[in-house]
Amino acid sequence: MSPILNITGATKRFHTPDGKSVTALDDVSLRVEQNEFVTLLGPSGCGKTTLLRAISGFEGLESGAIEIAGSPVTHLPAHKRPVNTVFQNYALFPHMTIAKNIAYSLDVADTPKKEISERVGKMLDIVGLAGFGDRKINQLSGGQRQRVALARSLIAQPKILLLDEPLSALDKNLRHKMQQELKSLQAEFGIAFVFVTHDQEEALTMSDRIVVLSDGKIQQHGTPEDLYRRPKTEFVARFVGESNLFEGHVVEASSQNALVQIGNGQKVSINKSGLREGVKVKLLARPEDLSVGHNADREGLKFKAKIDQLFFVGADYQILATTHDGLAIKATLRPSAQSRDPIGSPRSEIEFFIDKEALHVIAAEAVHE
Amino acid sequence: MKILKVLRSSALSIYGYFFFAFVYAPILLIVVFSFNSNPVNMMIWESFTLDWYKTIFGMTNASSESALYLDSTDQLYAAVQNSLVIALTTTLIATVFGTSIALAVARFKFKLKGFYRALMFMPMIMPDIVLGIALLIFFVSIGAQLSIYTIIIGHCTFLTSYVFIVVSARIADMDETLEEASADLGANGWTTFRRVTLPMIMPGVIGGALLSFIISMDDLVITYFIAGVDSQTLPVFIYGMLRRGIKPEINAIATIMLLFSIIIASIGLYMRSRRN
Ligand SMILES: Nc1ncnc2c1ncn2[C@@H]1O[C@H](COP(=O)(O)OP(=O)(O)OP(=O)(O)O)[C@@H](O)[C@H]1O
Ligand SMILES: [Mg+2]
Repeated sequence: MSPILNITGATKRFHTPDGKSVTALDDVSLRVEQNEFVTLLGPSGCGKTTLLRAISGFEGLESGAIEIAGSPVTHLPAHKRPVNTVFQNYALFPHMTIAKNIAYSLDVADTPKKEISERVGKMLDIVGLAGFGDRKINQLSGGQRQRVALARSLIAQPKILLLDEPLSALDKNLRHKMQQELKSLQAEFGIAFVFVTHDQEEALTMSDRIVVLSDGKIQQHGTPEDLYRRPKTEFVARFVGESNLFEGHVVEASSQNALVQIGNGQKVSINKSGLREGVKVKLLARPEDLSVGHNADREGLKFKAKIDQLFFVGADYQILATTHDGLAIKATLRPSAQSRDPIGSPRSEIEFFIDKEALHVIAAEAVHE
Repeated sequence: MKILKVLRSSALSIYGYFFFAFVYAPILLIVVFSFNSNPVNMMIWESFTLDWYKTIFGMTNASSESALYLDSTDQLYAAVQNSLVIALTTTLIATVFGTSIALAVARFKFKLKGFYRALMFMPMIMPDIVLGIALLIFFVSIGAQLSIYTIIIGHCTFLTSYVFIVVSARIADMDETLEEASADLGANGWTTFRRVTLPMIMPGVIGGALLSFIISMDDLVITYFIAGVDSQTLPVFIYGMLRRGIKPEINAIATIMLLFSIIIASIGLYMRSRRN
């Protein structure tokens, strides 16, 4: 099946008043499948909004092409594109009632009145606002406005729904609730969602696929597990999830294995092909990959460290520690069911162990697999 | 200490009363005088009368010939009619042009935008008398007969900029993403203008229209220069009357004009309160 959205080589430059130019999109290519929940993730100013606006038709491209459902839309004005947007500030029409807001796209398409009221009624039910139709926008809470914005952009059954940081204005509890509602709406409507956020946790929980952007370029795209477990660059490793990165270089390379020596002299053999001798690498371990104490049967890295801070967060302990050779370490430890003794206390000594299987290699230069 | 405080606050209140008395007493006096039957010295209260109103409305035949200072009520009516026609036409033209220019400046990108914006502010700070003379010289040099049409053109030149300023302020307050949302939901440019932009800026447009109506109705200085002999407006007519002494009918005319302005301002305020 052809992708619902196909972007090839999209490039967009902005000219600032002082005569410089900013490359907001740099040769971005992206395919989104029908029914896929794709998240654009990246730091502020990386081009997420620009990419979304290029898809919806508010921003033209210097070069590149956009296809929606197999037909080119690169030169189509926004009002003719079969996509709808949920704006960050919702952009609801304050001079119309809720029902009129939701009906807007049907109204401008001259849909018969009877059909409009039926569909608006159904939409109000779906987003849990039945009976609110005659209210004005300023009589709604933030979460309710959010739902009206969703209803308004879903009612015309777009091929793709674009969402620009729709949850950023909500408080944490409401945010979690809306995350779930968004997922179930997507399942219900069966259309592709392209969702923008700079919150990596949100991206991990919600997405089928995450596209990490930085400086207008796609750094990596893949499933949440891919990005978390197998980041290709240090940028992705740091941006998605918490990370411990150990600098080192390859001292010995064979067809399947590489022996990596890290800064403090420890060596560990990693199951990875394609690394050349002498190549600089970084080893990634996520906080939960660390355990306490040394397991003699297993090969891996071990660090003696001093605990700086220790947080008890229900099931887990989160520990910030400094190794004896000055590396900062983040660990998430879960006490075993048998022993409920505290793991340690600030300023106490601790020994961490990282299994070699848990280590992921990031090459300073691109690795060819 | 407490006494000082009381003193200070009562001093402030007294100051406040004086201020309002200063502003409103003359206006109140005109209203009172308009009901005073003393035809010779209006400062001396004689008795309550509606005669002056009757005179302006042509309801008294010249029974007390000495009291009738109006040259003829026909002239008064002609002046009122001229004023209304001019104000309505000007308001229509100035509102359409002022609003369009405000939208163009706010929404489109073009060269020398700041310069055009400044040009639109100019008529507001330009002294009336300069504008009046300039318009007169202009009309004479192109050989235009001074008439109600020259007044309309003259009024439009500066009232367009009043509307521009009022509407621009409203557009600046409007969230531009609303227009994008409309386009996103499938509305073309015209539909977006009709259904979103215009309703959103409507309070500004109505405010600008009422303002230009009131200003056009009572402009004297500029109109004085560019009014032809048979195209007197009400302010010009009253000014003409005044030159032959203050007559009691003027108080009645002034009171009616005051009432008229209050009604228009109330309509404006009411519309504004209803929108928010
Ligand atoms: N209209 C514009 N004119 C000039 N530069 C712009 C314009 N819009 C965006 N940019 C620049 O393009 C780059 C990308 O901006 P964009 O809004 O896409 O970032 P973003 O990823 O959405 O950021 P955020 O998370 O802060 O919303 C930024 O450097 C920004 O300054
Ligand atoms: Mg953005």
